[in-house]
Amino acid sequence: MFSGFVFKDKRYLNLLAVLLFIGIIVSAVLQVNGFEILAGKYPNMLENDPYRIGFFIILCLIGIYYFLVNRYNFSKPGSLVSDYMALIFISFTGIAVLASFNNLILMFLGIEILSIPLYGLAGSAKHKMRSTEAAVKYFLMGAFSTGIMLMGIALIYGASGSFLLHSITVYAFDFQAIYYLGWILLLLSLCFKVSVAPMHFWAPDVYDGTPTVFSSFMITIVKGGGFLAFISVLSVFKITSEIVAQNYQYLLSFIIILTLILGNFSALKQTSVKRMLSYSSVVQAGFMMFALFEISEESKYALLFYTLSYGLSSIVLFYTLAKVKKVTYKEFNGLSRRSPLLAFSSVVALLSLAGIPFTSGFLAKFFILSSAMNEPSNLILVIAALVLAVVSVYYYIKVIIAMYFRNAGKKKKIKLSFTTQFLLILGTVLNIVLGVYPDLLKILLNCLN
Amino acid sequence: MLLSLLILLPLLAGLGLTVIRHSKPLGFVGAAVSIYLFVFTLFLLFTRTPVDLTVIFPWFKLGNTQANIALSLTGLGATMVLLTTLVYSLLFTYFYTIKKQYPNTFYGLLLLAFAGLNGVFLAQDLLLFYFFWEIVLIPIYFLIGIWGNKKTKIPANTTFFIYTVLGSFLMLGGIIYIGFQLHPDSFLLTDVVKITSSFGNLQTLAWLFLIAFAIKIPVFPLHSWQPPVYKASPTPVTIILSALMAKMGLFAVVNWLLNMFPSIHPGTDNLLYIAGFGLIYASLIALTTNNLKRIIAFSSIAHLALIFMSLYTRSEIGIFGAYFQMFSHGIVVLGLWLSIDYMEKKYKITNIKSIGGLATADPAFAVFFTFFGLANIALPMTSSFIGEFMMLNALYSYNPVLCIIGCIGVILSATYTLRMATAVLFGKMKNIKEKKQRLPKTLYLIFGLISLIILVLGIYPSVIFNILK
Repeated sequence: MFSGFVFKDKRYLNLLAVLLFIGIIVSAVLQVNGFEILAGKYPNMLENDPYRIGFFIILCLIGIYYFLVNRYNFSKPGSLVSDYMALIFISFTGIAVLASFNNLILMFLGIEILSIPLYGLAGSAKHKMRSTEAAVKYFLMGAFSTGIMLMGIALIYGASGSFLLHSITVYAFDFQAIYYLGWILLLLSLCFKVSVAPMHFWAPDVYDGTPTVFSSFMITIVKGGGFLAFISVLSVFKITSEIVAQNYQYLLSFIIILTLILGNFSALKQTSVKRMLSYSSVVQAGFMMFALFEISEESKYALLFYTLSYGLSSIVLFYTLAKVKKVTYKEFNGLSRRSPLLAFSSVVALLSLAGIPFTSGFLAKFFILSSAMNEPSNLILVIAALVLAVVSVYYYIKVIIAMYFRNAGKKKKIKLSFTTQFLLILGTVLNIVLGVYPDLLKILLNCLN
Repeated sequence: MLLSLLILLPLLAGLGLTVIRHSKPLGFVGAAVSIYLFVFTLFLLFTRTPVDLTVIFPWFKLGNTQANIALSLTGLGATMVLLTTLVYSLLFTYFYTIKKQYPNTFYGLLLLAFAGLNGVFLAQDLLLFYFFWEIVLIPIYFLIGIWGNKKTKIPANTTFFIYTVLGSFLMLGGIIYIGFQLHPDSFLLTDVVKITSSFGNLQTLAWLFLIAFAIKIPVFPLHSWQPPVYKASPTPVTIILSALMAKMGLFAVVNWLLNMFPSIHPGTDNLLYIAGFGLIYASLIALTTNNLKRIIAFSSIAHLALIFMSLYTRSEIGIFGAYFQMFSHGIVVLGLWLSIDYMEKKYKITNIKSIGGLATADPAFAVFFTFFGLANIALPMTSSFIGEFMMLNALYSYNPVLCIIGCIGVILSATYTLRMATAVLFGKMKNIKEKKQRLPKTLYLIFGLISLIILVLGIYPSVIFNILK
């Protein structure tokens, strides 16, 4: 990670990053297969769960794709490319911790290791007001949510007398109120990390203000990391009584519907594509929350599939955003003439976000919504989410309309290097293949174990 | 495996044409593919039994529910595939050369829609059906968006897209509910039917599917996207929309909705009254508007409403009449749209007030146009007569009031069709430069073939009924 500081020659940085990723993946695979790389000195701190390590590996693969596609974009925000890469890798360390924590304290550390570098990345375009504003906002709000999380952890500790994931399920009955209050606080602070309502207000400003390369990282991989933490913590949350189950359903439904309404209707009115995508990322996070209704094999798989699908689409879209320079809808006019490949891969990415079949986005939505059908009454929620998704279709096709149905005027053609063309085609084909043959991911996960 | 050719061939040809950079239009590829598939379908129908042809293999599994790639060529689906291949053959022959930007992309997208349509008519698995149902929309959306009428295409197209996606998403909710709450063994039609028919009360679910299908047909009051889209689309797309995609909705009602929810639900009568109201309403608009495309668009709404009503009677005669009429309407409307395209290209008109006296100037065309008009009215000896007769018959035994509404619709249909034909063909010559026009030979062939099909089906309808059985 720190070798980034050593090599000042930018040409080798990308290569180094990819090699590092491959190293991480190899060690993760070995770890799953029983080679104890994480030494057993600190018992009960880390656990070795194939699903979570698999999730981490998928995030690493998305990371490789992200690095390769954006390899020329890192120098855009400023000249400190190696520093940015180091920060990104520190973030990944946080995700690695989140993939294996077995202890609430360690989870807290993971979340912080994940977030702190992001404050730096958000403010990396020092000469731009928006970027600095994003950094400050993100930092203040992040610190705030950290406080909430600590409070939650403290309350759970108070009621159960433990930080360990498998023993916090047992709590003293007299402290029931405190215990559940702790859980609610923990839930809310995690909601902040994955930017769902009512804790989403920072997200559009931060994603919009952050340089495009880094917002791409933040809304795909970091969000995935957040959900990894979410599902790991919630998988130990045992619903003991009928009332708790009811309330949990209500709380989650409320969060989801609020997220979808606020996100969709705010995105509808944006004039900047980047800001629209920021709100859309809030909406997509709302969809990902559906996996949390009942944590089962299916819902875990659905969440992983959703993360992968969303990552593939978003990285392509944000690359397009970085290419067209300005971020208004007008700037997308006639992109199909200026660069057919860029326009086509963006169309596939947008259709995937909208959830149209033959793209992975459709199956992702399908999987995640079906995993929430643990109760018949959830049909209303699913229908509401789908109707709200129609709103999102509207703002996605606005970009398609601009790219294909409007004239470019006198703008120059956009040239893409051979490698970039290959990578864009790869991402698009992968998106479609996953949309037709979803078992590919299952096969991949099985290979790792 | 033979059936997958019906989907894969146009898919691959379409992808190839879309990507290719060739300045000359390669219409013959499309024509060759569609004519080949038409002959191929006929060959399959006469030499193989449906059981031989069925394709089933597992796709993916979610929870305990298996999704399959399942295709089958049976009954109504077979008729519709035949209609699709036939319409496409004639379409590509007529639009052999086009003067458009990127002609090959245009042809390619048409072929992609072809693949999707065949998929919808062949799919026997609920999820696979949904895939094809949605994917037809995408090429059509781009066809309208890129080559449509410059002024109106964007709003019309957006309304169309949002409307249909809304319907599809509601259906998706229904599919998810069926798959993960009712727990069938698989998404195969037979398994789904087994499970849904054992539950008594699935009203909400039926409505979710019905709305999706009603938007595609379109049935009043969900029809408002249709006239602007028909007007803004390039003619080949309009033909596909009215001759084939509307049939997708009707086909889905028969093959999926009525099969999955066999018990008649309480609101049916009101639903049919609403559809009947839509019939009269659309006919009246067709009677008052002067735009040729709008007249045919509203006439389509009216005819499709009658088919929809007849399907919902759930009597054998009504359903068979509706099947027959679906095929017949596809052919008749193809003839009408091609005539309108011919007039639009040759005389640059779309308004019936701005032309007249075509009968003296272009007699051959006038004969064909009159014939298609008469087929639209459902005159005996034309194919529509058989269908409409059976449908009205079924409506009468179901509910005489609905039959009366249907009959009023038929009378109105005669009125507006004759009004259109009279205005265009007779009276003083307007906007016609040369006194004697000659119909090109290829058009003799195409119009002649369409007329022949209408006539043959009108006299000997068993051709279709044999396939249906």
